[in-house]
Amino acid sequence: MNYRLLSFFLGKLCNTCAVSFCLPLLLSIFLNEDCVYAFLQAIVTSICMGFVFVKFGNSEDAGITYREGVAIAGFGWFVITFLGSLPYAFAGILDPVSAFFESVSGFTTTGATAISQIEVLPRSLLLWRSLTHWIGGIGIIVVFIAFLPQVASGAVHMFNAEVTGPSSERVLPRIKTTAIALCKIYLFFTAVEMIMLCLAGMNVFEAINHSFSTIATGGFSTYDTSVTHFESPLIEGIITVFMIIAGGNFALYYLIGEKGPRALWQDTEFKVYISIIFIVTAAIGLNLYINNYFNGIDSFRYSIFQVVSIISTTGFVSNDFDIWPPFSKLCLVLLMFIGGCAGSTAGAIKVSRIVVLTKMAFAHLKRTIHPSMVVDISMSGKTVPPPIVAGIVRFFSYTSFYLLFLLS
Amino acid sequence: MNVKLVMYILGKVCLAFGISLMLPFIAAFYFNEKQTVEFLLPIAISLLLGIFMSRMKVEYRGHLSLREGLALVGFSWLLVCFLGALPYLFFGFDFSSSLFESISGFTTTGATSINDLEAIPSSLILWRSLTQWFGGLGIILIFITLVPQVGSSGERLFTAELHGESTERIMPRIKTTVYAISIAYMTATFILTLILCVLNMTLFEAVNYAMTTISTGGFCMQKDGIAHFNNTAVEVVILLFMLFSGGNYVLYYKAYKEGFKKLWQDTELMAYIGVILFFTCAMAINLFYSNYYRLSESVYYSFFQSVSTITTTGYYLQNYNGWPEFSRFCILLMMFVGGCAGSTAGGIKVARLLIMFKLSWAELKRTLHPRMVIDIKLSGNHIAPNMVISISRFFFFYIAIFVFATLFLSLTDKLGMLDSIGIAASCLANIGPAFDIVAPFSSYADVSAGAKLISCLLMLLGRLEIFSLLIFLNPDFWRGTKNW
Repeated sequence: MNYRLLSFFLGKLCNTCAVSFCLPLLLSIFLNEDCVYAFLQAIVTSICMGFVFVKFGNSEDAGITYREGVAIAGFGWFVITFLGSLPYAFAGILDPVSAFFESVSGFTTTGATAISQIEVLPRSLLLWRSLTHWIGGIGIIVVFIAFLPQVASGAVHMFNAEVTGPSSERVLPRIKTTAIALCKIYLFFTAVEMIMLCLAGMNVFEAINHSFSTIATGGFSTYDTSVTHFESPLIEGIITVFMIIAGGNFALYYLIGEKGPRALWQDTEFKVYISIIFIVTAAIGLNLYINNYFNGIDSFRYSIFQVVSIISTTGFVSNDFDIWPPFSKLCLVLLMFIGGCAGSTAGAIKVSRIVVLTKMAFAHLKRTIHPSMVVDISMSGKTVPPPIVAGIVRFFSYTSFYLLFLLS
Repeated sequence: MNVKLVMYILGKVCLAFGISLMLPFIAAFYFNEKQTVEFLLPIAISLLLGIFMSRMKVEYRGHLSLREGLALVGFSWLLVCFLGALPYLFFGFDFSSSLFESISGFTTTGATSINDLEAIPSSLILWRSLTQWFGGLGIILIFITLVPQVGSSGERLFTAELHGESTERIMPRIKTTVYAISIAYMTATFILTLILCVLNMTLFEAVNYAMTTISTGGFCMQKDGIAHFNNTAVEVVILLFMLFSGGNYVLYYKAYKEGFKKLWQDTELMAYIGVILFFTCAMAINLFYSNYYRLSESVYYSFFQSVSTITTTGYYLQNYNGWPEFSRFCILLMMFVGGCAGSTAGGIKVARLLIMFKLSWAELKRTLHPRMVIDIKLSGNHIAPNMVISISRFFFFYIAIFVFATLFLSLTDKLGMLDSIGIAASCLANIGPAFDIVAPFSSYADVSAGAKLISCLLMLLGRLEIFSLLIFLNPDFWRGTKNW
């Protein structure tokens, strides 16, 4: 393994982190908050670390192989989550362990929080929380590929190590162009959502925070009561739409730009994703309505918001679903395992994996009666090669194991 | 499909069923019970049905195709389960409870919907235990020997029926295997009956508990089950025999022929023991430190519960529903494991989990070496890729059925989240008791009829290893035979 190369990239990562601290720092200076020094300390720490890493590193021998790609992605996450926890710790809001938890939850776009009262926090720290989502969502590596010239030939390894889902198919011949396109789409959706939320009655600060965490499928809000706080069907509607978008395949959105909206309906995964959302929404909505939890419209309003929020792994809350009937709760638990589309910022098993698994299982069910049958599994009209199918099956099996161990 | 041939064999099954119903009928006379007509009617029905169906003219007897084999397995289970419900129905239980009791018996689940066991006649108790004993051996294993027509293609039935993937043939003729396994099964039951008699049980109790233990069923004669006897020796003996029943019968035969070192060389058996010990330790530590029992009791109770759950028997000494969260989750987890392939236990099976686990581990290594060739071995034998795929699909269907069953169960009355998860896991693995509403020392009597029917389906799916039943849903199965 080329350790000097690894060190170089980690150094660059520290510097990027220092730059991204500047945004909340400016806000805290502007609002004259106490946590200015926390951000300054964090910036100094990251610049120092970055300096040491870059000094030790060497970018000349830029032969990034698969191993380095995995190492950069892996260690990169450790470094960035460590640095990301510094503001919380320096500001004295959280103890180091909780600060690290908050940071990991932010960068992995989980959205679980260790802070009991969000509203009393300085606004600059709230912005930093949402920003960690936003950075984590696009994936810092994608940014690297897009803007660092040193990556060059090894880009493919770094890309595959980071981008989620089984089909990291490249929509563009050059990986660098793909990465830039992804960044553009990401920025575009964030901006559009921000404007729409402003128009719907949020103030600018809230709009920025919520659009960051929606597009990243994160789920940090600026209020303890999450989206419930606004009590506005319009805001819920806008966030729902953008959560659906964020849970879809970003590469697919690029194709829309090229081929028109037709591309959307030619994609099996996207169709299944939308169908799952509608079916489960209907099921939960009916369940809520029949059990007299809400009136007809509210049942479906809360149901679609929660379904989308969970399948896209965002985690916004518009109603306390802990008191919903068991069927609805189990449906939501099921959705947690499904997750969004491949190539999105959502987590979990992913719709395409589920589709391939189901197709495989049913194809092989037929093999019980026709033992010598040749099984061909295709998605969106393309054959899925057997090694990928096998990989997906294994992924499923180890997520199942993981899940069972998690349960205990 | 050769419908006539299938009908003919199903008729034979009915006849065998009618004859086996004579046993509780005789017992009813022996115990001087008033209710004997209740058995006479089902006997008459099944004998008549049997005679009618086996009068089918069968032109071509020699060959049984795969499809007919599958149809036979599925239909004979359905038939037997419905016929088995008749005695309960005539004794005055409602339809869903009768069916539930019958299916729970034949699938060796051991979940009961009868609240007051002491109140029902002894002959019916005997019938409950008998259903488990027959179910455990697999009706197929019995009737292959009864129906000579099946002959050469008996192997296919055997593959469809005998649990697990390692149905390697140990003897040149399948019929010999079946005889050997049946004899081992009967001998074990006989020995257990003797030991239990020596330990101060009445003969009737001993026979019942022996039958339900060896079949890993778990029907009890009293509501408090094994704890009723308050006799540690009885508990330990039953514990050991449960452990034995969860193992691979084919392996036992091998060990008998080729020496006992075969047992230690078998990865699955060692993993099976390992899993039990692991969970025993985990739960014992948890119980001890949460101040539930003394140290010796913690170890003993957690060992008994681990063995009972993994072998999918479903006996209990203590109400584990009151145990700490961690122990309860351990029990839930064990419900998925199940016994060894080729045993009477249900669940996913240790062999399958081992293979899946090895695969996952290999895949992790493959991230670093993308062109690595993966070779999975079990007990030194290479596992063919096809086998790996069929294990994966089984795993997938098992999880998927569990998930959907949980959803549907939660729609029925009175079931909360953990109730639904517990019932689905427990019924699919043929265990019996689960958590909260159906915790140990209570019964499925409070569960609504809809939930009972869903549980029935789950038990059948679990017992038939999913595919033999699921294949009926495939249109190809019903299509004409010309092309295949």
